[in-house]
Amino acid sequence: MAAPGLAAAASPAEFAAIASDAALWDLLPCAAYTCNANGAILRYNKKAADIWGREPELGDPAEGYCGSYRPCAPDGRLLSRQDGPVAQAIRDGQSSRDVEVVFEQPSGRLIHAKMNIDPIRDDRGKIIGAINCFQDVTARKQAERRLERRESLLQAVVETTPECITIVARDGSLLHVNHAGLGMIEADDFGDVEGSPASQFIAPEHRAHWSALHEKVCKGDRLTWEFDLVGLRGGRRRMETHAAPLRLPDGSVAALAITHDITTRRQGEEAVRESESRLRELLEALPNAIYTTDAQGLVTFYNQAAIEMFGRRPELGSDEWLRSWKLYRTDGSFLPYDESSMALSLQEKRPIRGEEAIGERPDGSRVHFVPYPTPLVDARGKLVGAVNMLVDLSDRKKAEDYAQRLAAIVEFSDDAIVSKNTHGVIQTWNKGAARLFGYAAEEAIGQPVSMLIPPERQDEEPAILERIRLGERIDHYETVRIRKDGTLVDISLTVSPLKDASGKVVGASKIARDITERRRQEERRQLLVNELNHRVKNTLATVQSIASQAFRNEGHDTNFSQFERRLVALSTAHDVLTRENWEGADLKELVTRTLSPLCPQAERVDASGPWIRVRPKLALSLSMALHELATNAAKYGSLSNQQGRIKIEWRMFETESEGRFGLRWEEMGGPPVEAPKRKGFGSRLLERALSSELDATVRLAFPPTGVVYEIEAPFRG
Amino acid sequence: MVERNPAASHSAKLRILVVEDEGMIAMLIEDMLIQLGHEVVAVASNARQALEVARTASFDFALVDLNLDGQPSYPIADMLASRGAPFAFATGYGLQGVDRRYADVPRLTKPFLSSDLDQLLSQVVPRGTTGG
Repeated sequence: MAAPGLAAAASPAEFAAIASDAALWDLLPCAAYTCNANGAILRYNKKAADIWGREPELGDPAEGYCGSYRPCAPDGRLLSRQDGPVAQAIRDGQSSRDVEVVFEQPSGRLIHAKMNIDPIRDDRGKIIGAINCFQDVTARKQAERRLERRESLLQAVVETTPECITIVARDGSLLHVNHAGLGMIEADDFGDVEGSPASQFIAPEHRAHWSALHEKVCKGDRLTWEFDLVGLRGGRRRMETHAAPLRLPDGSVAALAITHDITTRRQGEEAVRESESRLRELLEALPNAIYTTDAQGLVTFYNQAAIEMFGRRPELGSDEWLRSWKLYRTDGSFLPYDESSMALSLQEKRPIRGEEAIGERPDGSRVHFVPYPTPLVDARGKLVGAVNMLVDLSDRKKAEDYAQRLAAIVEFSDDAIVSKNTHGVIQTWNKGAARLFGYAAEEAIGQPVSMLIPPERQDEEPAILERIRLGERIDHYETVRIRKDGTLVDISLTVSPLKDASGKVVGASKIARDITERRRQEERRQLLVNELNHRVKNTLATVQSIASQAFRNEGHDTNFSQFERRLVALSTAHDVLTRENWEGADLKELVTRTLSPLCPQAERVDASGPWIRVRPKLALSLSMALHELATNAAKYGSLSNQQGRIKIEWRMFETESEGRFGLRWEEMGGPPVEAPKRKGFGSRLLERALSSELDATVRLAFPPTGVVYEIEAPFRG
Repeated sequence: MVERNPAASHSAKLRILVVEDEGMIAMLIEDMLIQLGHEVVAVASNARQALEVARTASFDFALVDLNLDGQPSYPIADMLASRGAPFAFATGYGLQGVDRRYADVPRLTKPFLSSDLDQLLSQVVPRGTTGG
C-alpha cells in the first residue's frame, strides 16, 4: 500500500530541509560521520560526538578518518589512524559490517563501538570518501566480559572443588563430571565416560533406589541420599549426594548432584557406635547393678542387674531411683538420701568408696549393699553426671551360707560326687567317692578322671566331655568303673555341666552310684523270668505235641490246626505281658500282635483308641477273643475276600461307680453274613467265657453287612 | 506214617539236626519237618550229645533249643557257627532272654506253627544250596 505523501513531488526547499539538514543527521538512530579520501571529517552527528567525547575539526585531514581521541586495537594497544577500518574501506572500496573497535575518549574512558562502513563514490565510480554508522557497545561488552569472567571462575571452582559435581541427564547419562568426580569414579578423562549411564558407578544393590530418586529430582525435587559408589577400577566408597533439578539450555531437565565421600565419616560413626555398644554390653554383662545419671542425679542408663536389684525399671530422665528406697546406715539409723554417698558424690564431685548401707524397697524387703558412685566430668571439668555401681552384700552373704550348706551335703552324701574341669581333671572328691573308688581325696584331685575308666571303655570319656562342653546333662548312664584295687564296679552316672556366673561351661559334676547290688538282683530276676518263660512255653509246646498225636489219630486236621492257632495266640499274649513284666499290656500292641498272623495286610485293619495299658487278665481274655474273631473273619467274614475291612475301636469312660472300658469290633466289605446255626467254641468264648470271667457285658451280632462284637468291662488299670 | 506234602513246603528237601531236650516237643518238631518234606538226621536231647552230633554229623540246618536242661546252648551254637552250618534257636524266652552276641541268630518262639517253621527254613536256607 502506497503512502499518501509519496503522490506529491518534493519541492527543492523540502529537499534541502529534510535531506541535507543537520537536524536530520541528529535524528538517525546511530552515530554517523562522513570523511573524504584524505581522512578529513566532513560531517558528523551529535550521537557521534557523544560517543567520541569530543567534537572533531571538520575538514581537517589530521583527524585521520576517525573522530575519536585515540583509536585502539581490541586489546587496548594504540592504533595508527591510517590502519583504521574507515581508511581501509576507502583504500579497498569494500564495505564492512559490525566491525568492533576500541577507542579512548579524552577523559581516558575506553569505548567499545560497532561500526558499519561504506565507501562513497563519485559519478565515475572513484572513491571519494566513506560513511561510518556506529554504536556504543561498551556496556554490552562489559556485561559479556563479566559473564565470561564469572563463567571461568565457576569453571575453576567446579574443577578445583573436592566435592564431586555431576550433571546427569534425565535418561541417566552423564553430561558432566568435574575433576573430583572423575577421581571418585576412577576415570582419567571425562571423554571416557561422557554420555555413559551414571548408574554403572552405583553399587548394584543401590541402583534401583538411586534411579528412583534421580527421577524424582528430574521432576523437581531437591533430595539428599546415600549410596555406595563403585569406581571403574572397583574402588567402593560410601557417598552422600545432594541433588537438585537443573534446566538445560535446550529446555530439558537434568539433575545437578553434589556428592561427597562419607566413607571415613561413616567408619568413624560406626567405630563410635561400636565402642558405645561394647561399653553397654560390658555394663549389661556385669553381675553388679550399674546405672548412670545426669548432673541432677536422674537416671540415664541402667543394666539388667540394676533392674533385678531395684525390682523395677526406672523412668529414664526423671527418676532418682535410689531416692525410692528408704536408706539406713549399718548401725540401723535412718540415712536421708541427700546424705547418701550417691548424693554426696554428685555434690562434691568426688568418688566415694566403701560406705555400706541398707536399702529398704517400697515392698519392705531390705538389701545390704555398698554403692560405688563416681562423678563424670567433661573435658572442661564440668560435672555431667555420675555412674553408680551397687554391690549387693546380702546376695554374697546368702550365697556363702548356701555354698557352705551345699558343701556339707556333698561331703556327707553316700553317692560319689566328683567334679572335673573341661579337660577331665578331677577338681573335688567327696567321702562317697573315696568309699566307692578307694582313692583318698588327695590321691584323686589333680588326676585325670580317666584313671577310673576301664581300658575297654576309655572312649566314653571324650564323648561325655563333648556333650558337657555343649552344656548337655547326662542322666543315669549305666557303666562300669575301675577301683583303686583294680576291681570293677557297676555304676549309674549322672553328669551335669558346671557353669560360671556368665553361663560358660567350666567343668562337670559327676554323681556316681554303686549299682552292683541292683545289677545282681536284676540279673537274678531276669534269669528267673527266662526260666519261667521257658517252662511255660515248653509246657504249651508239649500240650501242642500231645494234641497233635491225639488229633492225628482222630484224623481231624482242621480242628487241630484251629487248636494250634489258639495255643499260639495265647502264647503271643503271654509274650506281650512278659515283656511288660506282667504289669499290663499296651492294648494297641496286643491287637496288632494278635491279628497280624491272620491278617498280614495291616491296612485292612483300622484299630484306634486311646493309649491303654490293660491288666494281664483282661489282656489274655481280649487276646483270645480277638483271635477267635479274626479266625472267623478269615474263614467266613471280611478277611475271606480281598476287599473286606475290620474296624476296631476302644475307649475309656466313667460311670457313677467305676471306670469302664469298651471295645467294638466291626467287619465290613465281606461276603453277606449268616448267623451260625451251631454255637462253636468261638461263640461260646466270646459270649459266655468273657462275660463271666471279666464281669463284662458282651454283644455278638451277625448283621448281613458284617460281624459286630462289643464288649464293655470294668476297668482297673 | 505222615506223607510228604510238597505243596506245604517252600524249600527243597533239607537234612536237619534237631536239638531238643523235651521228648514230646522233639516229636512234634520231627513230625512237622517230615510233613514239610524234610529229613531229620538226628535228634539230640542233651548238650553233650548235641555237641558231638554238631561236630560230626552231616546236615543242612540245625534247630537248637536255647535252654537244655537249664543250661544255655551257646556252646553248640558256637560249634555250628565254626562249621559254617546254618542254624536257628527255638526258645521260650522273650526277646531279652538271648545273649547279645547271638542277637543275629534267627529265632522261633515256642510254641510255633508248622507254617512258622517252614517260613524260617525258606529264609535261612536259600534254595539250591543244599547238599541233597
